[in-house]
Amino acid sequence: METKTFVVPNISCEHCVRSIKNELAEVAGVQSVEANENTKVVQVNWTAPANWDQIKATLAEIDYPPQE
Amino acid sequence: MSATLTHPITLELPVTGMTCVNCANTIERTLKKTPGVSGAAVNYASERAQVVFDSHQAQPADLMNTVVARIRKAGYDVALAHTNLPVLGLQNAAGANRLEMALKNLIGVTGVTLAGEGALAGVASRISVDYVPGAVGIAEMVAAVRAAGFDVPAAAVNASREAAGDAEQMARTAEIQDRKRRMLVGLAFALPTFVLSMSRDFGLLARVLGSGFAPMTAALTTAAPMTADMMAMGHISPENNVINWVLLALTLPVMLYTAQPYFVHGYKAIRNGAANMDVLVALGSGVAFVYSLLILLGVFSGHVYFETAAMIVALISIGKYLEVRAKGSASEAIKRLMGLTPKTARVLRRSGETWVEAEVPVEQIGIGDVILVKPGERVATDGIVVEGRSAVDESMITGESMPVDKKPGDAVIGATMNKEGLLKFEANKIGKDTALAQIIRLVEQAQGSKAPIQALADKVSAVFVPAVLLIALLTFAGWLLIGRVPFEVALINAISVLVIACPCALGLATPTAIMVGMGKGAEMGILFKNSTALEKAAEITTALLDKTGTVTRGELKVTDVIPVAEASSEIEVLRLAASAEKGSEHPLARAMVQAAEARGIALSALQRLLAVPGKGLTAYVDGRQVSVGNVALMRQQAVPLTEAASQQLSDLQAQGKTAMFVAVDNQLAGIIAMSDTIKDGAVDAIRSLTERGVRTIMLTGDNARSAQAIAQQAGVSEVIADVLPGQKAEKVAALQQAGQVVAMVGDGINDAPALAQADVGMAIGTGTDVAMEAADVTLMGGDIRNVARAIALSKFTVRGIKQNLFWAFFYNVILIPVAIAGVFQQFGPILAAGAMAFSSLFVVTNSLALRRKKV
Repeated sequence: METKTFVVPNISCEHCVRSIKNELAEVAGVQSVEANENTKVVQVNWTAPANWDQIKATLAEIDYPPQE
Repeated sequence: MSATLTHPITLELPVTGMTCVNCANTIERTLKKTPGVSGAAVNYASERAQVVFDSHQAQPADLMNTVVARIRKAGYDVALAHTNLPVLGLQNAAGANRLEMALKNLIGVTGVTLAGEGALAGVASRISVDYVPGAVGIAEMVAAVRAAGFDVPAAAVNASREAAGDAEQMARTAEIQDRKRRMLVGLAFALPTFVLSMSRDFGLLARVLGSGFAPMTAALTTAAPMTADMMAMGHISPENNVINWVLLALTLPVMLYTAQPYFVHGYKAIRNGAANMDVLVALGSGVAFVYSLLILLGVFSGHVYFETAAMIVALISIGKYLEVRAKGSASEAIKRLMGLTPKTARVLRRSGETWVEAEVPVEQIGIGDVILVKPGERVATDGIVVEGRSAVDESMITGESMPVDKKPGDAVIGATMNKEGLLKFEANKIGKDTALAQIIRLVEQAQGSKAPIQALADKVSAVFVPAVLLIALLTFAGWLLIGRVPFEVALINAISVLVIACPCALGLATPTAIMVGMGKGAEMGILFKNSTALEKAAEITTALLDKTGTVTRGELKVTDVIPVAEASSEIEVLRLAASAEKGSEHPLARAMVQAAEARGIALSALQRLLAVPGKGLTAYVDGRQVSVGNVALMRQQAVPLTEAASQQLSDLQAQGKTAMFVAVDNQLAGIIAMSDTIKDGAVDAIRSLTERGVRTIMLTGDNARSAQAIAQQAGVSEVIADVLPGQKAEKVAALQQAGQVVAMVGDGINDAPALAQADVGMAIGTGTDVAMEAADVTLMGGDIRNVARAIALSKFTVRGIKQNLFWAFFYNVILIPVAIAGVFQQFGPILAAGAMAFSSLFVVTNSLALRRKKV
C-alpha cells in the first residue's frame, strides 16, 4: 500500500473535491481518497495495479494537476 | 416500437448548482463520457449545458434521463419543468401505454406518469410530464397526444401553456406572495403584542383590568395551574403572568414563521464569517425572545420583551416585502429578444427542375437553405444574399438607423427587417449561432455575472453586530469580575445590551427612503426598476453613451443644400429632390421631404419613380428627370461631375454627413447633405455629467469619422467607434475591470448586453423594449439630461438612507450605556418601547420629509 499527500491548487469548491474523489476512485487499485476543499490537500492510498504516474495523469486529465 | 434518433441533435439544459468554473469542466467531462452523447459544452456564467446527442438506439427519454442522472450524480441539478395535461379518450391499459410511448419519444421529455382513473367515467385522465424547458414545449406534447389518437381539451392547453410560461416569473411571484404572507402574519400578531405590552407598561391595562377584566384573568389563572406554579417562583402578579403567556402565544407565530428567513440567512452569513442585517435581526429578536421565555419559565426574574422580538421581525418584514416587490425580472429581456425572430420562413427547395416555395418553421431551416424575404418581412436567420437587391433595416441589431443596402454576396442578419425589394439568401448560421442568439447569450451572461451589491444596512450591520457582541461580552465580564455581582445578574445585564441594541426601524430605513427616491424619479421621468440601481447610481464614475438614439435623435436631418449649377437655387434643388423622394420610405427621403415642408416649399407631383437600390432614385418632376443619389448613380446617368463638386461631396462626408448629388435632366444641380443631429439637451446633459466628475464616453458601431463629428457637437471627449454589436458589453466589462463604476445609456437591442453588464444600465424610453427590460433604469421621453438627474437622485436617496440609518440606530445606541450600567431592569421596558417608537417615527418622518425636498 502506498500513500501520497499533495496539493492541488486548482481546487476551488466542494464540487472540485467531489469530482477528484469520483475520478480517482475509478482508477483500479486506488483504495481511498481524502481531499480538503480549504487546504487543497489531497491524500491518496493505492496498491497495484495503480501507480503514481497513472494517478497524476488522471488528475491532469481532469484539470486538477497535483503540485509536487 | 420506440423511436430512436436518426441524426445528432443539440439540446440546451439549464444546470443549477455550479459554484465555480471548475464545476463547468466537471459537468462537461461527465457528459462527454455518457454513451450516446458525442459532445458537450457547459457555460458557467449562463448556467447552461449544451449537449450533442448522437444517433443512438435508446429512446430519447431514456437518454435524457441518463444525462440528467449523470449531472445529478456529479452533484448538480437540471432545472426540469413539469406540467399536467388532462387527456380525453383514454380507455384501457394498451392506450395508456401508447400515450406514454408517444410522449416519451419526444426529445426533451424525461418522465411521464399517468394519474387519475377517470377514463372510463368519460372524465379526462391526467398525465404528468417532466421535461427540459426549451427543448420541448406544450404544443409538441399536445400534438403528440393527438397524433396518438387522444385529445387534450383546448382550455387545458392554454392553461398549461401559461402555467409553463416562465418558471422564473413564477418563482418571483411566489417569492412576493411568500414575503407578503410572512409580513401580514407578522403584523397581525406583532401589533396586538405591542399594544398589549405597551398598555401594560404604561399602566393602562391595570385600570381596564381593575374594572372588569380581573375576574376573567383570575379565572384563567386558576384554569391553568402551571402558570400558578410559575408565579410562585418569580414576583410576577397573576394578571401579568397571564398577559405574559398571551404575549408568548402572540409572538410564537412571528418567531416561527415570519422570522424564519432571517434565522436561516443569518445562520448562513455567520457560517461564512460575516454579519449582515439578517444576523442583527436574528440576534436581536432571538435573544429577546429566548430571554423572555426563560423569564416566563421562571429561570430568571424580570420583564419580558416579547413585543420587542415581534416588532423587530414585523417591521423588518415590511421592508423586505417592499424590496422584493421592487425587484425587476431578468428574464423579460430574453423573452422579448426571442420574440424578434419570425416564426416561419419561406424556404425555396428544389423539386426536380423547379424551385418550390415552402413555409417552414424557423427551427427547421438548415444551413444552405435558400430563403425568400419579401419587403416588410423579417429575415429569418443569418445568411448571404444570393439574389436581389434591397435595403434592410438593421437598427435592431446594430443600433444604426440607416437601412443598409444589400446585393448578392452581402451578409444579412436574422431578425432584421427587409424594406424595399425581394431578397433571396442562403442561410449560413442557424439556431444558437446567429447574431441574435449571441446577443441573447451575452445578456444572459451579463445578468448572471453581476455581483450582488451589498446594501448599506448590511454594511452597517457588519460592523455593528460584532461591536454589540463585544460590548455585551465586556458588560458580562465587567459585572462579574469588577462588579462582583452574581452570575445571573451579569448575564441579564449582558442580555439587556443585546436586546436594546437591535434597532427595529432598521428594516424601514432603506425601503422607505428608496420608495421616496423611486417616486421622485418617476415624477422626473426616471423609472428605477430595482433598489440596488438607485443605491448604486450615486457611485457612477463613467457613463458610456450609445450614439444613435441616445446622444442623437436617431433620425436624419438635412443640414446643407448647396446649389452647384448657376441656374439653380437652394430652394429649387431641395424642391426637386424632395418631390422626387416623396414616394420613398427611406429615411433619407423622409429627411428631405421634412426639410422642404419646414421651409414651406410646395412639392410637385412625381411620375415614373425608379429606385436604384444601393445608388439612389430617379423620377420625373414637372416634366424634368430628377436623379438623387451617389456617385455611382451619376455615372450610370452619365451626369458630368466637376472636380469641385466631387471635392465638396467628400468634404461633407468627412464631417460625418451623408451627402448626395441632385441632377436635373442629366446635369448636376446641387448637393444635399444630411446627418443625424444631436438631441436638444445633449450638450447640457454631458456638461452636467462632466461637472459632477463623471467621465463620458460615446460608444458606437458607426465609423470614427461621423462619430467624432457628433462627439464634438455634443462635447463628449472620448469616443469608441467601430464597435461590433457583440463588443459593447466587453467595453463595459473592461472599464469595470479598471475599477470604474459604469453606467451604460442606450436604446437598441444591440445595447442590451452592455446595459445588463453595466453597474447601472439606463435605457432610453423611446428605444426598444428589449433595452428597457435589460436595463435597471428607464429614462422616459429620451431626455439624457436625466442621466445626471438620476445620479443626483441616487445621491439624494443614499443620503436619506444614511439619515434613516442614523435615526434607526441612534436611540438604541444611546440606550446601550443604560443597559451596561445595569439599571435596565428598572427602566428597560419603557426605554425599549420608547426607542422603538421614536426611531420608527423619526425614520418614517425623515423619509416623508425627503419627499418634499428638492433633489
